[in-house]
Amino acid sequence: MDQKAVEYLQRSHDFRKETLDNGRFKIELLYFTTLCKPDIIQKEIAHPFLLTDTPEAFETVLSSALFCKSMEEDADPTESLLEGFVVIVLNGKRFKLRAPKPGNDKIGEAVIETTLQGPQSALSEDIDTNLMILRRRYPSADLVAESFKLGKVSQTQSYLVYDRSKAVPQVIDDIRGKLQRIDADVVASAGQVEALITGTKYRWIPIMTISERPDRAIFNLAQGKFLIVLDGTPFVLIAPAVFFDFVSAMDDVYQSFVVTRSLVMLRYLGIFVTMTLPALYVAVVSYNPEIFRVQFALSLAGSRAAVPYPSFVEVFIMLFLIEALLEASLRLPRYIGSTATTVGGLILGQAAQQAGLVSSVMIIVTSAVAISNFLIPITAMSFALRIAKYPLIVLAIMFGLTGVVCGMFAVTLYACSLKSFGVPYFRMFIGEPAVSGYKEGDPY
Amino acid sequence: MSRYFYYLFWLSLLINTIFFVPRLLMNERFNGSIMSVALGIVYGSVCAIIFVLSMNQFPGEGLPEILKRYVPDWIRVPSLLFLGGMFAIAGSLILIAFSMVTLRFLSPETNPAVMLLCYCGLGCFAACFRPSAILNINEIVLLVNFPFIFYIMYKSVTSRDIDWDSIQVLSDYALKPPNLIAFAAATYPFTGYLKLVLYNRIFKKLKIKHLWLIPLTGLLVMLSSFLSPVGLLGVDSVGEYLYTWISTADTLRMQFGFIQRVVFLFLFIYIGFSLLYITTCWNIYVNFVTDAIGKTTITVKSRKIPVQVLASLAISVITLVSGFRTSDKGMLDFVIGWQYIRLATEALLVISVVWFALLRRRQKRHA
Repeated sequence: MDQKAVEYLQRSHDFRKETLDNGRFKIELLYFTTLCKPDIIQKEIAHPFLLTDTPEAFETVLSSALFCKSMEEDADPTESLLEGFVVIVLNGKRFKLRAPKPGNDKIGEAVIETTLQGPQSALSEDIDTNLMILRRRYPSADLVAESFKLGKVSQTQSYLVYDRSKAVPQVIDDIRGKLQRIDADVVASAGQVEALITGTKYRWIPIMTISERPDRAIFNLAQGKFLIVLDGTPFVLIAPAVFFDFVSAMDDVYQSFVVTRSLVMLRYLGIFVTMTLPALYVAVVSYNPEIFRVQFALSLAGSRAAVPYPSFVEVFIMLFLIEALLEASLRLPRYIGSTATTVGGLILGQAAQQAGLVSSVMIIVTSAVAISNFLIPITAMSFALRIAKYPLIVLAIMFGLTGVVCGMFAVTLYACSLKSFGVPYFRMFIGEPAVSGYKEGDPY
Repeated sequence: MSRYFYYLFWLSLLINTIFFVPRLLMNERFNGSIMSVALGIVYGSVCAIIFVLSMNQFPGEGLPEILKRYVPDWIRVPSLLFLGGMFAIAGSLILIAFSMVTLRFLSPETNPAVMLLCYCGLGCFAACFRPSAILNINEIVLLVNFPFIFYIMYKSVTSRDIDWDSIQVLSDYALKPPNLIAFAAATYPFTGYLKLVLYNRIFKKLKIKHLWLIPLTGLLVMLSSFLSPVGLLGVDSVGEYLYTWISTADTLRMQFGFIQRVVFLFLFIYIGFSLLYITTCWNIYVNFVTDAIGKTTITVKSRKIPVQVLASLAISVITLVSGFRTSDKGMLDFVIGWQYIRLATEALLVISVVWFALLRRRQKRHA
């Protein structure tokens, strides 16, 4: 036995080294009390131990138990112990028995990505529970789950899940290689995995979907995409993704065609508004008020009468306030959060306008920008598009309306040039297999 | 997949019927424009169709690959550079013209250099993307803007102020013999098919269908581009306008619209189209230069810089400087000279590609 390793571990008080004696022979148990479940130790080791007469008979008992393996003579037990194994020493021979205490395997309600009349539960934080959910909803022999350990220290358990009959083999090879090449100490969440497997550091628009919904995971599996399920987080990564995935909510599958299409149109409109409206405001007010009919141009100028500085200053003031409010209400404890929204609402409402800091049209612009940002179903995308308006504002300050159009063109071109695991990311007709009837097109 | 070909074709059709072409046609309107337009439509369509059919013999190959197969290097490299240069000029002309238009109609107080810088910067950024990304954005921009284009065309044809008499007056000059510059101008909108010289690479198994769309859409767009300015501005005074079509769009009003003057809508659409056209042309140029040089990076002061970036920087700087030094009249004179060269180049290119296609068919039959 590697005494050194055991002594090293004994510094922790939750590490246990126990000797059991039934009067005929002795065994030694090594385990972490916090990682192992006493019931299993009781049932699989202590109880049979009491009834067996000879060490040889107990060895048979151990070999016949589920999840029990004999260990190599000089193997280091540390890793197994840390994964929740109990190491049993019997006459110098060592066995390890898997007896993990379950983590947080409660299935929560979907809170980030809610639907009105779809499945209400999300995935859990326990990886095996998640795989159970996926298998139960996708009972196919083609469903493959390959296990990976991510992170040098954290050794986070993860599965690469895909449908072997539908996924593209090159894509799976690609992601397998990328997962193996991950070189970080701690891997804690799905978004971090996306960052780690993306080649470039400077990325902006997410090219992998992050979702907590089992139904979204299943639909994507059936489309031939793969999932990365991670222990300790209820979110899975789904790729290859196309832009449309970020604009489609799961409700789209459960509603009628006309309703769905209208909602998707609404979301695209929202994306356009949230990206361009502040920039258009600057360009129209400072460069081309005459493009609107004269009554509107006059009322716009009238509402700005009290504002003493150029339009871009008020845009930056208001956008700073709204972004600060968003960020604050996200980070604050829930009890203080309501205070922040109330105070913020007051500032963003009448007060700022009455103080002559901003025009009343600007307040409408700000709220329209914030609200239409919330239309995007996947949070990663709505964060990415929150950033998009600032370069456009800068272009509007420098070049006016021309700059805004140029900026939109550049953003579109950038999105068009992206690829998610070889699949074109942003285009008009995406051509993905229609597994739910809500996407259609010719195959890519 | 053949829809991507039509996007390239229609983009060129829509862009070129707005800028210099109406100007050149209006100059010669009593001097054989109509005959030239009719001939131009026929010639342009025939060229387009035989070019497309020939390119279909080379699935997944652009002109650089085809040239490599049939001609020695000392012809291939200069001709690639020359063709790339022609595409670059086509893009730059639109860039300079459009920056002038924006200055005239959208923001008259902006410094011309700043406006040029905006367009050149974007062109430089955009030219270096993958060809398939360029095709995707072609699709998006065109399909998003088509409804507005149809609306403006409908508006211009049904406008109350259109003077059908003027158009009838023009019919008196229908039988005048065509002249060369008007003919060259009338064929220019059809040259979108030439972009297949690069983008044919992406069409791995392309059979371009519905070829009848080429003459049909060409005819419709040419007619409305040629006749509505005459109807809306009057047969005599139409010659006085520098940017014929934009002034024409400015005659239209949307009575209940959020934006009242159609010209603003028109300008927004055409900023997008121009950017698209510049991007596409410069993308072809950048790729041709890379192919002609034969390597993808050049080492400058021990740093590897892609040839694409250098090429697009070069054309942007050239465009910026020449755009800054030129005037409206200088531009028009240049375009007239350029049209002749372009017409000759186009004919030569079509003939040689047809020749290569025939060679290819003979090889296939023997093999």
